Amino acid sequence: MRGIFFAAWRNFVRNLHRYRVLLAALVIITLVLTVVLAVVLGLRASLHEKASRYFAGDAVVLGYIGDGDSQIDHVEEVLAAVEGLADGGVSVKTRSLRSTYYDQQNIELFFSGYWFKQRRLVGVEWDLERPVLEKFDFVEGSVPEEEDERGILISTATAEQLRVGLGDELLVSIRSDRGRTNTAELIVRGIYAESSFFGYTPYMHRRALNRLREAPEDRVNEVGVYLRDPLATQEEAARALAAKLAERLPSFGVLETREAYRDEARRKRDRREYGVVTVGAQLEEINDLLSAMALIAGTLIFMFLCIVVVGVSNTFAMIIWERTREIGTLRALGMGRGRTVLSFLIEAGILGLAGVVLGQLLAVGLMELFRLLFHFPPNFVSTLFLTQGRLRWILPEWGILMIGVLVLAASLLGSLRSALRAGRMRPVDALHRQG
Amino acid sequence: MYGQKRYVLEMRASFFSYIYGKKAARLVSTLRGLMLAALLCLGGAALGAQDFSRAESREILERVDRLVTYPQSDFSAEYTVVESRPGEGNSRTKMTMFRRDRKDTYTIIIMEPAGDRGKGYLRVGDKLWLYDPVPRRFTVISSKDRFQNTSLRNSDFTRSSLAEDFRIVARRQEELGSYLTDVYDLEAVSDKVSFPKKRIWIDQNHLVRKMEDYSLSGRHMRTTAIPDYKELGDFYVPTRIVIQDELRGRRVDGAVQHQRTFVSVAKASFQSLPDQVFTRAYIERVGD
Repeated sequence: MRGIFFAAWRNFVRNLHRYRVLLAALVIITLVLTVVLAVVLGLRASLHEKASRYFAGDAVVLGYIGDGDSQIDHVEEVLAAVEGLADGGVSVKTRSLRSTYYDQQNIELFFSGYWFKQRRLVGVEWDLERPVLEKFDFVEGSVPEEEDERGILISTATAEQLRVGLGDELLVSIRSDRGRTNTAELIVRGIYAESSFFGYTPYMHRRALNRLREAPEDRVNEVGVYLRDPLATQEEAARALAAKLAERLPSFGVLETREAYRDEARRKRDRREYGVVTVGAQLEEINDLLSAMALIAGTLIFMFLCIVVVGVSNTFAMIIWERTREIGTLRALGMGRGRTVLSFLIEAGILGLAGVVLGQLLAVGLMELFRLLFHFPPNFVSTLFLTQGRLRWILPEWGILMIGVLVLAASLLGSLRSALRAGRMRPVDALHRQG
Repeated sequence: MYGQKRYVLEMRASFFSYIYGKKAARLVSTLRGLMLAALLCLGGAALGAQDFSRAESREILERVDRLVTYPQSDFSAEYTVVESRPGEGNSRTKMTMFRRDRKDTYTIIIMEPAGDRGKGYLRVGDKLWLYDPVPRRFTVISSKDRFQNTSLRNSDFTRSSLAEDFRIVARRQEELGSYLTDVYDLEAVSDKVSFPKKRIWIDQNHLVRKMEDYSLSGRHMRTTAIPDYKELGDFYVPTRIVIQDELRGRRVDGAVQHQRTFVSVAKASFQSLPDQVFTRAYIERVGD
């Protein structure tokens, strides 16, 4: 068996000039496949990271009674359930205890006469969420110190509208939970690059937001969990968290879709019930968009692969034709039909493998070069999908393997017909042929 | 960077100058200097603050409300609202207002600009609807919301209900231009109002001449001046109102200018109106 591998390798090297075009085609297809997969996964991860920061975590505990707003009345029990996650083997990065205020009409920021409306206000504990908040693409400043209740983080979109800079004091005006106009003067401690819809959200201390809302200072609306491997484990973590919650508190389980999320918030209850929602469910529409993009890319790649199979088939037919006398000699020297077929298939395998390795190396090099050289200014698309203005790509092991198998299969499939034909040749006919 | 507080004080002085003359502006400027001393002199007591019972509050504020509330008759008038946005120019809204105070209801039909023509507001009790003739749809809005994105609030068009909604917490006397006024600090007793704190300047005829609105935390949000009233029988109709938004404005040519809303009221009438004017069907018909 080693002999046939060696012979196939020698034949491959000797006929490399014949394989050049085919190799280039396989390198290109591998490169395209790798770039598409790695970039789509990178965009998804980037979006997920922003969304989890926006929505308070990868899996978030909500408490509903039917008025549409989440509130956690049993913070200790919920935290105990979160702690219990680690026992179940879920790796938690950190957690969040947030106060959140939604009102698209009545959250206004003012500075020196300039004003800008915001979608929501988020009240955080700076130290608790520091590992996550530090991932913001800060243009100026950073995450405030833990006890800083006068600090606020705003986006570049907001800062530009308000003409506000680091250290400036701006005014936040909202309608409190009692419907009264209330204001607070806060100091800009950080400005993060964000122009997408995630940018209309200032972050402030939870106690400061609760005071502004006329709510008890220790009020918590959402308890979130940030996971170490969110894309792979968020659903498992959500189920485990919901199970832990159900052991302690009345529970409505895991919310899988946005509709369920909306319905549960409004469903009237006698007492507050708790459940878990994942970022995936909150981002259902965007995930659908990314899946649609991946599907379109997949279809195009499949068509491309079919063309490659046909191309490989034709090229191999030509190669077999050109090497007919060589086949005849080998067959006359005693090489069996099976070994002849296998020899050509191994050549095709080596060709495919070379295409995969070269293509993937080239793709990784190009993506990394692109990431290092190109920094996109903040705009809606760049801040929504990129990480700190740069393209993020992720190429997991399963991706490398999947692309390898696909390209290798295309190469083997394309060469199969010609290899079988070579195996069927009679030595006398092959040697007789002029060429 | 220009300090926010200094900016507000400067604007306040220029606003007074505009409405009540330079004398008033000088007065504000002097008051600014005296503010610190006044605070040191035991605040409210030194300023003549006193405890007011709920009954006293009601009595004083009812006197004010009575003059601009018309429970015996319907009220209609043509309002012109000019919104002056520094650096952006002016926008003008013309509308017809129908009010029936005994039922706590009003209807407003927008006549200008052409893009908003046919829009209508209907308030019945605590409910307020906005009708948009393009999708032909009513939406429920809050009386605390801005009116057509101006400095006015939807609640500014209702009858005056200071006595119901506020209590007096302090009082002093002050000259406001040529008027000798009683200045009352008010605190809301109801959550229905647009601003939880107010300061009002009442002239010797019990007419509100100036009003300042504050947020719960005490931030000055809006100043309203009412220089002109028209006397109609036993009642008064404010015919010129100037509102300065204390938070919205622009720096133009190095100077800070606030967003202002000028309201003029014409063709005021107490003639009775058909009941159907205060219905959604009426607004739909007019809008279509």
